[in-house]
Amino acid sequence: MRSWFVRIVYSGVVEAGPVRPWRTKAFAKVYGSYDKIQSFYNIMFAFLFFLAFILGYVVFAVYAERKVSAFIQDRLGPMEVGYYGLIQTIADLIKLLQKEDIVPENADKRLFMAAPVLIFTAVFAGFAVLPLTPDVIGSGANVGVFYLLTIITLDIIGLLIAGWSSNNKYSLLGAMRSVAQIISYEVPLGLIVLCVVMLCQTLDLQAISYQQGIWINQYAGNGLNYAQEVNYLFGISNIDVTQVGGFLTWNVFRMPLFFIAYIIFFIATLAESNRAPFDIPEAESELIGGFHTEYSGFRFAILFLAEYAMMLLVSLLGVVLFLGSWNTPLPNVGSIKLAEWTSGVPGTVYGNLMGAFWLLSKAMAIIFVQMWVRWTYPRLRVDQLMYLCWKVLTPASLVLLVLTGIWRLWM
Amino acid sequence: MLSDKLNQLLQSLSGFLPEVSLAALFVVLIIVDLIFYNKEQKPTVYIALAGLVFVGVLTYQQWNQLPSPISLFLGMIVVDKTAILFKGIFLVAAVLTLLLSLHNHKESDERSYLKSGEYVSLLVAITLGLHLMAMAANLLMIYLSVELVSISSYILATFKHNKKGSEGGLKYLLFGAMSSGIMLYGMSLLYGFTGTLSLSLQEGTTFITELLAVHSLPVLLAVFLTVGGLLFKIAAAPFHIWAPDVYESAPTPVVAFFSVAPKAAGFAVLLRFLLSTWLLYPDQIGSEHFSPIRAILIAIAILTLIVGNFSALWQKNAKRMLAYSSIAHAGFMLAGLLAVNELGWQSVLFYLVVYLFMNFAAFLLIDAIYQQRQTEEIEDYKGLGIQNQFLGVAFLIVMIALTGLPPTAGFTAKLFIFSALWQDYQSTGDNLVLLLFVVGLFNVVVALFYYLRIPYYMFFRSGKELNTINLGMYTVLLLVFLIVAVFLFFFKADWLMNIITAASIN
Amino acid sequence: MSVTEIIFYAFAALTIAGALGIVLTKNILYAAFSLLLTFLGVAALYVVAGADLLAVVQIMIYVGGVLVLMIFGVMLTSKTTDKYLPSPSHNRIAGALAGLALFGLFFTAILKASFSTLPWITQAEQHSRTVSESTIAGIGINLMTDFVLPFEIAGILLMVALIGAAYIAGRK
Repeated sequence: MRSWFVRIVYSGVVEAGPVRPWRTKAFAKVYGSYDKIQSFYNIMFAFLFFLAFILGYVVFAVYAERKVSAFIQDRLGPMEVGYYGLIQTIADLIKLLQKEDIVPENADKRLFMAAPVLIFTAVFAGFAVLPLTPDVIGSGANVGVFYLLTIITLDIIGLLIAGWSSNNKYSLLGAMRSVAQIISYEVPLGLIVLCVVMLCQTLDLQAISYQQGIWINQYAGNGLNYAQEVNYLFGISNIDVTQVGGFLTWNVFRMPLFFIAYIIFFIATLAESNRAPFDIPEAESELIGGFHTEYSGFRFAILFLAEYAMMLLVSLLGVVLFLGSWNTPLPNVGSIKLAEWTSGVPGTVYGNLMGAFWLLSKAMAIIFVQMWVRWTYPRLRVDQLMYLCWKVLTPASLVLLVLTGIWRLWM
Repeated sequence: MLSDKLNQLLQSLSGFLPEVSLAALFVVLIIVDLIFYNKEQKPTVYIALAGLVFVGVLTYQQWNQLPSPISLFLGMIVVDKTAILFKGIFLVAAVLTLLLSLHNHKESDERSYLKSGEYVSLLVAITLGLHLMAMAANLLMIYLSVELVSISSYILATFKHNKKGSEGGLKYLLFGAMSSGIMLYGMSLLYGFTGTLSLSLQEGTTFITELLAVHSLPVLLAVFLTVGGLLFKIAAAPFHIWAPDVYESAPTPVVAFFSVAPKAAGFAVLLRFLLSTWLLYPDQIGSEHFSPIRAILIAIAILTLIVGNFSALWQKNAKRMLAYSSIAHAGFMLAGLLAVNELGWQSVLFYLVVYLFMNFAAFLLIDAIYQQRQTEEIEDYKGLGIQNQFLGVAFLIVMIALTGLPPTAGFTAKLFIFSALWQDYQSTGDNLVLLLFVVGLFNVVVALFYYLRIPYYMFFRSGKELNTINLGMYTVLLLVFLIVAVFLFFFKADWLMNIITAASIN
Repeated sequence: MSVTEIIFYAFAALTIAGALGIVLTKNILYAAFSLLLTFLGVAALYVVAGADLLAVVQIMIYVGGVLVLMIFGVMLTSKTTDKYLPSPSHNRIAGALAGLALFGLFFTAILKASFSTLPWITQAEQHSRTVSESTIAGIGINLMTDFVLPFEIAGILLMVALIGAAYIAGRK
């Protein structure tokens, strides 16, 4: 056990030979070219990992949500099932799966049953282009982030189907509100993503990830080659931080105004995932539960899963676009190579493990902030919601877009 | 290579000044409207007038400085003197529309559209679209400029705040969207056949050689789908259904504009599309490949003439009557276009200029009566000519001009069209052209009945004694200007014809 | 039959099935949802053709924009509790005949055009790039050079549409 661990770390830092069997020539001879095998392996791994991770994460996130809210409201939260209520969610989940799957008599049955599947599929499809580590990404498609923004619009159709087919006015109202909100907030969201794309000059999320760390010069692919790229702090051309790495090369530091951009992005994504304070689509006091009022049992569980998966998706996207993706936050300081030690060379197991670790822990931190916001702020009114979107966020993101363009020209 | 292209694009801007100014004017008008948001009196109309005059000056300079046709933006548009002449027509039409909107400041609910800055800025946007239509030498540019004109038109058509306005606008939108979809389908097929969207001078030849490599049935289909969208714009026969409803419901100045400017632009695009690709000259490309195109277009022209004139006979509403009359006029112009010779399309240009003045005069008269009597029914015009002789005489002159009788320019315009047709018949001996000629002549006689019914009612029927019609000084001056133009082009037809010949030389 | 061909026919079948669904259903909302299938099928066909950006744009505009707007329109203009939103059919026989005739005309025309032998297409095939290459950079550069004027005019066009929509929606 110990020697195995040493070998992984060693391979990461010193780049010792092949750790993975699929790298050998014999393997390639049987199963085809090395690159193809590797990319196929990566795709399958990313797919299965995200699927399993979402399931595990939701169990954890529900527990966390209850504990965070309890902490904020100065109470204990679930305490009975398991140590500190740790397996409370699992108990809830078992209860949920045992429940009767009720399809209302007057509902449009086929659509009613199909809607949760469509919603979850749309959200899960978004994970396809998110890089997990320097090597593992579902699809290295060139259209990357544009595809992500697009495929989650399918979610809207699912919501509309769910709301309409329930044949219940609360469901329909909830769905309408939800869709109006999501579409409106897609405008500032899209513009902010455009800012990042303009700065990074690519839509590929993996390329954007590489740009934000010490391995920038190792990236080549999709017609891009960053061997000669140099990273500057705030884009000021005499502070070369290419080899310093850490948080200094994150996008929020490559362009000073991206702090504001990230705040807009964060607010917009809160609205996109119908989280408080933008949860009027499912405001319990007005609409019972919004579009999922009529759902129960397993179907409700899937809708719930999709909601939490959406939270995770937007948090991951925020991390990839602004907060350094899978890059370590620790910079190299002189001879203390913190950045290199805490992130292995891409292509090694250690590098991949650390990449996944940093990416997911940053995302979890963001999700904590989302919960924090939820239990701190009161819900917005519809008109306030639209005011914020169209008269504050959209103009602000347009200004940011122009400034980013000018910045990019000077960089 | 790339920097060459960028340099060319930058140089293109200098030949594009009128359009750049129009775009700037559009933005300025929106901002001015925003600044004077809550004010009663807005300067938007005057700014727009000044801006349009400025654009006119730029266009005039362009006319003087143009040695030969130039192609701008890497072949997207072509500036030649014909296009500049068309641009002049659009600018005059836009200015006249604003003047027409200004006349008689009696504030009523229905005219409150004048207060909204959108009205003026959309008019400028539509003028920009028309300019681009006249110059477009690329299928994509043609489509986009047609859409710019169409979408502005749909909105302008609903500017009367009532149910009828919405109905007319909606009908216009539905038919328009359908026809632009059809046009787009045709264009996509043409692209599929040729691999190029460009119709411009150098590449136009490749467009046609590629088309010749394809079987004629698909090409004919694609050409007709494309032309269909343009025929919609000029309201030719099977595509005319929208016109009467829109004309009846839209604000009168807008209708006057619709009846002239988009129609002229439609002819500009038809000219460019059919002539620059030689689709109408089967002999010149040495192939009988496209000969059915002309035959079918002639059939459409005949149908347009008949439908327009005969439907106009039964109309009781003056604006509806003029709507059908504008369809009939489109038929005449289409006939001129199909007389494939120099005189043919020169006569179309002549007709358009004359039609601009006489139609604006007709709508001004209808609007003037409407503002005093709140009616557009021909029945209610009884006795008006006796009450106000100036009004009656003006109406008589305009109607004679629209019919095409001397001593008005309407006669000259029709004369040119018919001589072009006759010339074409003599050179080709095509019986279809002869048929078109005969149908055209016959329709002039039909037109006599419905046009002259209005002056007849005004002078020879006695109506109810109501308050007397009192035209303001502004209206009278505007009317006199328009009527003088109608006479001028009869007595000095060669002035206009010289300009048109100059335009056709290059 | 190669794998690509099988994929092509599968997605083409999906597209056509969606289109047939639109025509054959009498419930407007079902028609709208079948349209989703068609749009997704067309996007998939773009992917098969190697037009990655176009495929994503197709979904973005047609599913995220047009379709949502249509469903919204249907839902807002009909009684919300009405489960069945019928669109009755008229002139069935004449309509079917006209449709079939039109289909026959276009079908023969497209067969006659024989796209695969057209000179410009055979030339293009000789110079074609590999499918794996992305189209984004090319589209971007072309939009800023060869097609910069249409690009800008489209901007004005959208501005006009926006102003018009706001005017029509906002008047009293």
